[in-house]
Amino acid sequence: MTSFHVRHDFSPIIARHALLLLRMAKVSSEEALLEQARARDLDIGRRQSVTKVFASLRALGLIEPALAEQRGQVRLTDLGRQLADVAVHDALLFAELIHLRYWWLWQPEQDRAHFAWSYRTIATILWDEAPVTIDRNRLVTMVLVAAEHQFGISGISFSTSSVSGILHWLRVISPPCIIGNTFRRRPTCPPEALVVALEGIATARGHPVGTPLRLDAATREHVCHSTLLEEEAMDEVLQQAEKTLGVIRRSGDGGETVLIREPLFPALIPQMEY
Amino acid sequence: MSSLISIANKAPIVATFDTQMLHASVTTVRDVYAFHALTYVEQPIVADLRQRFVQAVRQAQTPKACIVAPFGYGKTATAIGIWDACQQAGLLAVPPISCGSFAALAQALYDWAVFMLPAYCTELDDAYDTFLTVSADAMARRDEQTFQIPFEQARASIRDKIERGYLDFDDISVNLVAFLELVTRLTQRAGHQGLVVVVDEIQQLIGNANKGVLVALRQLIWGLRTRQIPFGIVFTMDPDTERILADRAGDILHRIKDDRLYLDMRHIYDRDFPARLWQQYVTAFQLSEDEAAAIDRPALESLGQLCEREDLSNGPRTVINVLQCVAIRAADRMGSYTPIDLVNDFLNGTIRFDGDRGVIPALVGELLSLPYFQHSYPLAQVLRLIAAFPRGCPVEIASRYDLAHAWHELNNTLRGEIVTELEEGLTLIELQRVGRPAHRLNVLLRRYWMQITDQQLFAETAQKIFSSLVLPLIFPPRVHDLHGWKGLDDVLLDADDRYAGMLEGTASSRYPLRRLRVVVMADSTPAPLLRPADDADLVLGFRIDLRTEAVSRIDIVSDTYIVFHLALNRAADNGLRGGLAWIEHYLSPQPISAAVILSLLNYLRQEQIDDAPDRDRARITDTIARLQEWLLADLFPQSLFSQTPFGVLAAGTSGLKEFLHQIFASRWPDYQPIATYQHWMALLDDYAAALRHVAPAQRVGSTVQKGSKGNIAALFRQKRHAGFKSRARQYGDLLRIEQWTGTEAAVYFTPHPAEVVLANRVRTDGALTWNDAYQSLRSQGFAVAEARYVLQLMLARAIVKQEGSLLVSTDVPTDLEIRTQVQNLLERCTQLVSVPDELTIKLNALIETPDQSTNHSQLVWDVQLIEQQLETYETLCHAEAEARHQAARQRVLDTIPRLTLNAPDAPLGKLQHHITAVYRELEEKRQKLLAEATFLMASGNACSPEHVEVLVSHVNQWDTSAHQYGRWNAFAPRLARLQTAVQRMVKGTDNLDALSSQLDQVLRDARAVLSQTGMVALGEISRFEPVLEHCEQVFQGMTDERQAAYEQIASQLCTQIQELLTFVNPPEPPPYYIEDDERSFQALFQHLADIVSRTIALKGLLFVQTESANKAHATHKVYGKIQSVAQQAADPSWLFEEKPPRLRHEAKRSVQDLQQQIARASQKVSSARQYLVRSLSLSSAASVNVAMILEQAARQNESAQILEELIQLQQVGALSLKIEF
Repeated sequence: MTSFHVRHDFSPIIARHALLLLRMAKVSSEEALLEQARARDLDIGRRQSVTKVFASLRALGLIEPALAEQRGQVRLTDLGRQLADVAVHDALLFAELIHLRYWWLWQPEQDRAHFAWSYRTIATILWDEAPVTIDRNRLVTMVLVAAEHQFGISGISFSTSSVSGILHWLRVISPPCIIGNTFRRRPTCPPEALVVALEGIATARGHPVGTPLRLDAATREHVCHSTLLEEEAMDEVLQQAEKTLGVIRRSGDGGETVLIREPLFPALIPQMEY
Repeated sequence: MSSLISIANKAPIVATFDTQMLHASVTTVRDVYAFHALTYVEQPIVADLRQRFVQAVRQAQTPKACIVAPFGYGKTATAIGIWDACQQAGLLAVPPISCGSFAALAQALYDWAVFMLPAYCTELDDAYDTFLTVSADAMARRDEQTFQIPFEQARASIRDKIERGYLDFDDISVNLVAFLELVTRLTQRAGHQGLVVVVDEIQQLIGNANKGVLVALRQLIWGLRTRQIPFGIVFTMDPDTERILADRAGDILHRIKDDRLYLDMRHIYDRDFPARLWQQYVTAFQLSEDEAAAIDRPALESLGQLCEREDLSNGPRTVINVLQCVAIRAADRMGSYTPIDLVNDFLNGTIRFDGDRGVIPALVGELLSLPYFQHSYPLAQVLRLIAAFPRGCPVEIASRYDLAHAWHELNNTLRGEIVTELEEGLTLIELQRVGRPAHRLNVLLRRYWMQITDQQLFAETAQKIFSSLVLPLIFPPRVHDLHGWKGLDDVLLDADDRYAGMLEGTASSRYPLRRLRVVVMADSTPAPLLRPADDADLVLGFRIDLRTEAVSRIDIVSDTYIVFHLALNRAADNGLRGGLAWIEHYLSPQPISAAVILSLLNYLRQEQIDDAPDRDRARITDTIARLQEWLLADLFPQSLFSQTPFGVLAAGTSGLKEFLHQIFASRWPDYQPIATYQHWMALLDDYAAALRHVAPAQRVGSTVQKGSKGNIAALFRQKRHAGFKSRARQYGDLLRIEQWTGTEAAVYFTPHPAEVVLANRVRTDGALTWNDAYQSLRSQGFAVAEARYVLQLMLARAIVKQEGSLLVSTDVPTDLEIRTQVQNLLERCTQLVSVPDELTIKLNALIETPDQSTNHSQLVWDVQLIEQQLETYETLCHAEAEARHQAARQRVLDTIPRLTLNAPDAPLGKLQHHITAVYRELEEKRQKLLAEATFLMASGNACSPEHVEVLVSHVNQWDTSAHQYGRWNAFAPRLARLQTAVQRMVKGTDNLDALSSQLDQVLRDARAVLSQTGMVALGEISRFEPVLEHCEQVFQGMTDERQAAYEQIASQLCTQIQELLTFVNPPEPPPYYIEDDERSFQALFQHLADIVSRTIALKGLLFVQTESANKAHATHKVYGKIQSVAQQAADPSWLFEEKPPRLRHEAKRSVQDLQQQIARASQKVSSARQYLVRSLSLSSAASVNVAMILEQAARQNESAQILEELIQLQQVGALSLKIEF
């Protein structure tokens, strides 16, 4: 059983700097990364060690797993490279994508990435209860109870600092869903997020990309859960996605369907393993 | 065309005539109203009301109709229409008039009736005269009763005022109803079927709706309700008056409404009204076919759509106003009036009644100002056309004006954001009451799109917009010293047409507080010069290149001057990318470039979105944030920096930060900031303070500074040592903690390397100017504030010292100077009240046997340390002295209020003189102490605590004496009263004798004490008070004796009074109060004094004259004497002696003399009066039974005269008679 803890020291700025540094050809180790970071006065350069940062990146599938024979060597995965490319020019979209990665990483069929389950659980609780004042202790309790229910494990390693690790990301996405200490559903979201969400749902249902997806109430709610979007705002974002991201929407006797022609960020949504 | 001119001259608002105008010229009123009636268009609902009203008049139902509408909604026109219809229905109708009073209403009716029924002039005159006379009479009678104004005089004045309509009062409406009734009857006789009065703008009549007016109106309405006559009245009023009536006189409104002839005109004008009115004009003015076509059908239709909307027009006023414009145009042969002309007239202000808010002109004017419409005449025309149709303009109408193509284009391009297609056609979204688009962002984008021009994008304003939009993004506002920038507001246009200013802030924490001179300029502007005065670290130039083929680049001109050439108009390779790409639709056909996005952001910035719904606002804010992100990435892409030796990881702001950091790092490789925490200045201030309190060797880190943790923390101005260790870490290398265990602590102060370098330079060169030192630090990379702090640390550390503008090496004093300084310190010690021995011992040791083993600098430090300690003691001593002084002054202040003394109570009996003597003595002492206190208060430092103590002690003594004096002051009268009471009693009993002698003894002792020892004896009061108290108790216990004494004295006094006043019986004394002997006697004396006084005063009746009708008066001189003696006798102390209690001889004599004078003077008084007074005087009682006197007088056959006397005296108020059954 992997950890349920979401690292609170893996903040958006640290994650972005780490990926940007790893994107450089000459950075392939912790030491090299720190050296480059300090030469540029990046926040990550003030860390004594970036081992934990790498652990988080690895857990999210953004850098390759550490192999015994390559200790100290670091390499971005394809997904990591995609996200690093986004991070170069769009910090807002980068944060959105990391949020989605957290949200979609856990899959019930796979007994791994439990920290992503924690992330999704917290985000879902907040979305369900929105608008709601954030009470970290209550969130911890709810996650502990949910874990017991979901996995039959009591006393998982999850604390208020784990909640902080999640809130880091919820706080930086735009438009914001946390204002002050209150969580609200978002009145809009980047169309990219909506497309990723649709892809996530299709994948979770076992539909390959390119298959029409029924735009029923369950799908809509699922999309809004992961994008933290108000349900009433979804159609407008979908409209933008139609215009700009090649999403096709159809209406017929059987209801509305939506089709994504190809993944926007391949590998952001983990594929089902059968 | 004359008919059209008549229409053109027709006022949109029909003015109402008042009663004065009607009185002056009835024909004018009739003719003007008749003209309006000719073109009046009756709304169906008004026609229904009018028919029912006329019928009700004919059926003698005395109907009351009311029309409510705001100003300009055709109330008067409707009233004229009803008037005209009534006339035609055979009724005699008074034209609509506004009247200021009910009298004026009567006047108007009279004027019109005389005009219309000249054959009945006499009857009308009589009826009107009756109305005036009755009204005036009622008022005049009231004035006569209330103010005693002669009736005739009042009536003439009032009648005049009523006649002129100046006066209204409660009853006038009652008279008015009677007048109406009379005139109605005459009207019928003259062959009319009834009478109608139309009161326009009833608010004129009601005025401020005071009670009187409302009562009068109520009486009028009630009066009409009780009549069954062929008379009807029509009121018009505005909604405000309706509301006032509803609030203050709802019953009146309800009675008016009872007749079901009540109409609110605000919502009766439908979209067909303009067409009907125009048709009425055509008919009434007999317009020709050409003239009738002066306005086309679509224009009438659009006018109808506007007329039914209160927010877009002023209803009928707008319609009439527009038709006037139509007539003017037609008269000038300008062709048929179209909806486009209508909107043009709105825009150019020809139509005055545009709904007060001017929605259409504002909206259309704004849209027409956009280049999208300015570049296309058909589009501008079609915009005007659809603006005229809030319900929608069909394409067929557009076709009629050859605008079908433009109609379609507008529909295709702007539908959804600016225009919308309704059932009837295309219209402007903003003209819709509901259903405006929810997506404000889309509307904003569409509007932006309409204002893009081919010449865009701000060639002239590019620098300004770049400065105001981009600079705040790349140099975010200052949060604290190590975060953000200040000075953005000072980036202003300079004489060279550049936006320039100095920013100070932090991009990289390794290089805090940099000063950047930022210059935003056109590509052709000459390069800026770095002026020395700027004291800038770097000049950053942003050259705005608006050529589409330009390429962005960076020029590193020198290590202090870098220029960014920004190709703003170059098309972005990938457009807006991903989720923002939908916006490109709104920017089409412009290629996406930084300039376009900057222009869009500038547009969005100017839009007010505060009133937008939350969701819209969030969308707009998010989109702006994403566009800014895109813009920065486009302006400062990674590739831009890769041309320089300083490549960066990211685009945008973070790339620029990286770039600047690398520039700084290459320029100042050895620089170590001292501003490492946001509160670095406060930290260094504490550090400098600590340096001033440690020895030279410790300041420079030669030796360790030891002490308790508390002491070390206190050096840094910290009250607690908890947390100091982590605070010390913030000093970095400047402070090293050597030990921090238990209670002990040890730290090393270490100079900053820059301090050492500078100090060496000063030592080598002998001196260095402050400015050179500062410049040296700046060149090493220190920020302006940092450089100043480094120099301050050097001075605090005393490794250099400042002499004027020079920094020089520190001097070391000679042994002789040290010895002299020590002597001075010793001298200062002697001037202090207390100095710790340790200090003087040290000083003596230094001066007598200097320790040769101590090195010279240590010696200097020791002396400095002792001087510091001495200064501390001096400060403490001064503070203590000052505190004592202040406390002393306060004590004096507190003391003064205690120096108050009351004068002795008088009379104090046999101790009076003694007590008074003591009082004078105390008062004298009080004055002396007060003077002393005042002197001390005013004497500043002379107000020493010692003096104050003496004063306070004296005041305390005086205060005690004053307190005792007060007790004596109370004791003396108590003793005197007891003695008097005892003396009143019959001597002979042992108890009484003993008490009497004891009191005598007390008095003697008290006088002896006070006489012999004066003020000092005051304390003896404590001995006397218990004795007196005991005596009082004994006296109080002697109830029988006291009562016997009272009764005896009372009896004696009553007998004396009986004799003096020749009463038949002695007066009855009041009862004795066992519990209070003193009070009993006072009551007795007062009772008898009242009897004497009253009896004497009674004698005055002899001389009262009763001839005057109103008031009693007496002229005899004895009368005055009687009054005077009676007044004196009312005072018991005038009448009685106290010891022993008896009539005073003088008083007795006065009364007797008076009685003799009265006897002499009363010889001329009637025998009846003499008898009466004598009879009344025989009794001491306050009231006398007259029946008995009359009964006795009857025996002498004088009862009638006596009774007459009594009645006359009662009438003049000399006495009062009371009848009891």
